[in-house]
Amino acid sequence: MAKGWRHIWLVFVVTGWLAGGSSSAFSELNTNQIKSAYLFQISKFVFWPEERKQFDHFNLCLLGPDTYQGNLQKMVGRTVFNKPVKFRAVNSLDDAQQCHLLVLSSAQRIKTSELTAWLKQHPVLTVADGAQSIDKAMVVFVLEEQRVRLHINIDLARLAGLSFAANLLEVASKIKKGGQ
Amino acid sequence: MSWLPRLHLRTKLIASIVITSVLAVMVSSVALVRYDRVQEVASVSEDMKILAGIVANRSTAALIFADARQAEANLKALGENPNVLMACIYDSGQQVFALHHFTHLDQKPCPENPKESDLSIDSTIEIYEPIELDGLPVGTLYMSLSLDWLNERWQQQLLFIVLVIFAVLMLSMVLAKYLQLLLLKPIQKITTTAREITEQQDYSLRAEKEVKDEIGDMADVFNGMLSKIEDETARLYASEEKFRQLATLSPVGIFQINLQHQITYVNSRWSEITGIHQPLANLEHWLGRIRSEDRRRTLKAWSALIQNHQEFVVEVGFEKHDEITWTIIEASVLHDGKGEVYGYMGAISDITDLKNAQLQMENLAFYDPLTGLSNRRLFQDRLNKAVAESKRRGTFVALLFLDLDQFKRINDSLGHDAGDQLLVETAQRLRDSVRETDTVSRIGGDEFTVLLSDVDSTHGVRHIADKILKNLCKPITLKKQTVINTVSIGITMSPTDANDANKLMRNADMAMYRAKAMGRNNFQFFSEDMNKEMMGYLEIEKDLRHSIEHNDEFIIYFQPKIDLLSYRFIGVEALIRWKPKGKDMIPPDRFIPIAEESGLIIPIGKFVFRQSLLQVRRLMDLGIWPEHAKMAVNLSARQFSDPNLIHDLNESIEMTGCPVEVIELEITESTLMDHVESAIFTMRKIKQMGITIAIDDFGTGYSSLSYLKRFPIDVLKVDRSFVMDIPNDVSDMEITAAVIAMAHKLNLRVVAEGIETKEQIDFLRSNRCEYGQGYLIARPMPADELEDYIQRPIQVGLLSL
Repeated sequence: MAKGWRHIWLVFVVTGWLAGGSSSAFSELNTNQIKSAYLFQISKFVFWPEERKQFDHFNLCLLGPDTYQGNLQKMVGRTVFNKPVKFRAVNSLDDAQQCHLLVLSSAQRIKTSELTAWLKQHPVLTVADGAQSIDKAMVVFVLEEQRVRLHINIDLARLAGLSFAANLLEVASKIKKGGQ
Repeated sequence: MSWLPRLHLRTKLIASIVITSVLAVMVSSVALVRYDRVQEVASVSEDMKILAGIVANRSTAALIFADARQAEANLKALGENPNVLMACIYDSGQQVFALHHFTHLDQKPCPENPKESDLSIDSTIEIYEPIELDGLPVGTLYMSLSLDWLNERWQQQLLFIVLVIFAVLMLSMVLAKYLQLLLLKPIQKITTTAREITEQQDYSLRAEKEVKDEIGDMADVFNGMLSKIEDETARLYASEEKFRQLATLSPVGIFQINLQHQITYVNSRWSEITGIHQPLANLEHWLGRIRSEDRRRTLKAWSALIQNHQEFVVEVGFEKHDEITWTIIEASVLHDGKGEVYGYMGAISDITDLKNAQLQMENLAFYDPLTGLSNRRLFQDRLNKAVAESKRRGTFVALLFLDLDQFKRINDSLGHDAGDQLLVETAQRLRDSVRETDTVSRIGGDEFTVLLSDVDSTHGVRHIADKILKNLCKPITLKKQTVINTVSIGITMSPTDANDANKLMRNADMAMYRAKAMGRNNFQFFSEDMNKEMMGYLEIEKDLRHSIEHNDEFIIYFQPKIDLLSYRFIGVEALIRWKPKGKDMIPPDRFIPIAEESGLIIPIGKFVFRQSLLQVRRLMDLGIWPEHAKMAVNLSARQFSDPNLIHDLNESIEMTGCPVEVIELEITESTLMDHVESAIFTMRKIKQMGITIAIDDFGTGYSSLSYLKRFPIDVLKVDRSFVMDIPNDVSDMEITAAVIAMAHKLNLRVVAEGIETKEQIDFLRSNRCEYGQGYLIARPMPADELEDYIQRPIQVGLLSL
């Protein structure tokens, strides 16, 4: 029950801020907080291959520096498709083979081709910041008009054997699909 | 609703079918529409709920990722349904996150405080759909849906219903029309038949039975009723015909009058009797014809009938050309089937003939039809009144009693017509002889009375009596023969002689007999002597009765008869002698008329006959009664007409055992002439018994030769009055000779009575009269002397003459 209340509180805070659209609210919630909340929500609109669902935990991994300022760790204790979230900071792609969601905090350091090849082997949702990261991350957080927006690379996701719920695609401000 | 029953059955039938059909359609339509509405709303609600679910689900990411534009875009999808008015998305803080109006008009803000998962249907359908993500609520979708379409649908349906109703209306009208034909046609046929019957009065018509349902039954019942009516009508007609026949043939006038006093029915006899022929005469008009004497009484009877229903019978006369038609009117009230009076019915009978007969009878009762004089009854009445009047006024009344002297002779010789004519003439002459105020009456065959009232002396009466005698003895021509008729009159006066009618009549009668005795054609006043004589008469009658009872005061004497040639004894005539006890002997000519008058002659005659036969029987037994000798017994007129005569004779003959051959009955000529035919009949019976019949006192009556020839007689006795005057009266001698000659012509033997002298015998012998009887021959003698007389040497005395 206590866990339920926390969820509500979070959603309440996020949506309340979104609906209000006021800068003051924005100031109250920093971008990292929003993004980490988004990460948790996004995982609900993503469909992993069946074998990933056999895992005991929902593995949230971070490759690179903690740009979320520890907010990611706060997701531990929640559940995604009834699996408790487990956070792990990984050092390499190889280390991230068992991850469901991999936050690339420094995407520019990872070669696209290497990542693409790796993703072909491992169905891992990659999330990064900045529009330029679209080739490496399947979900990219972009700040547009003072709001956190999503860019989605369906091609990459398909490559990794993942798919998105249509709802998520509808809210994405940019979708990369078919090489575009 | 009072107009409802007045509608035609046809209209009602059509209306009921049409209204029922339309109502059924309307009700079912409304129900269907209602159901459709509910179903539709439910269906739409369900659809929209699903749609809302989809949109809500779709809007999850937009809500989660605060993409209001996307949320609104999602909401627009709801616009697929044109009835959606607006849609809102609330975030988890129940703040409106996105909204969209689908209509430009009447844009409303999103409702505050969205409910969780609810559906409300009012003028709009409102749906609240929770938006959830991964089992957690993240917001709410609100959507409102207009029901205008439903109304439009309703309008379309209404139009359709109206069309359907119209179609149903048409269809039901056609159906009703057909049903009406089916149902009403048979009824109309019955109605038409009934109307035809009413118009044509033809009860033989019948309604056609077309169907076998209740209407068919009705036709059967109707026809049954018609048959009954036809029968009833036929019966009624027959009854009416019978009444008409009766009324037509009735000798009685029949009439019917309604409450307005109009004469509504009369038979022809009524018109004949009343003489009223115009058909619409009313009661008052008719009653106005009643003769005034009867009108008041009749009107009273009528008003009693009209007011109190009192039936009446009145005798009423109608005057017509100086003649009165006498009628009896009877009337009573007429009741209808409910007992209400609806008129009067009655009968009128013509009783004119009856009335006239009654008047005639009254006439007959008081007047003599032959002469027109008052009869005995009226005379008695007038006499009583006159006596009473004379007592009151102190005047005298004279009563004259008249008897015609020769009436019987004239009647017998010239016939009854002549007798009647004589009576009529006598009556006229009597009327001519008296004053207008005096009453002349015929009180018997040839007996008249004259009542003279208000007379002051016997002198006046004498004068009138003279006048009557004078007038009546004038010759009168009857059947071409001139006859002279005289009258004997007895007169009595009241109150001098008597003052009651009966006594006066007796007095006058006595006086009249005295006048007869005085030689007829005169009048005699009553005197006290006559009364005394009458008293003697009554005393004799009394003594006679006494003697008959005791039988010992009558003595039979026998006077012998002889043969005038041989002087031989040929028989006797039995003669009665009477010596009442303590009195002197009374001669037969004194008591015989009284016995005859009183009827006592019958027992006396019977006694004489029986005693005479006993004597003959005794003399025969003694052997002294000569052969061929006859015992002659007198038979009086009263005896002769006695119906028991033959029986009594036979009885005496049987009782005495006397042979009939010796018996001879002497009957006076006048007795036989009273009723010739019945006398002949009686004589024949006597003759048949074997008894000889002699006519006694011949010559005193008025025997016609033709009668004599028919009488079965054997002997004729010449009356002593003729013999008496021989030889002094030549005419008597001539008559005697003629009688003897005539008797011989008729083969009768003759007996001469009252022979007292030798000359008489000589004369009779010379005229060949067979037998003689008289003092010269022998006086009447008692039986014991007769015994000696017969045995004596015959006619010693006579021969010596």
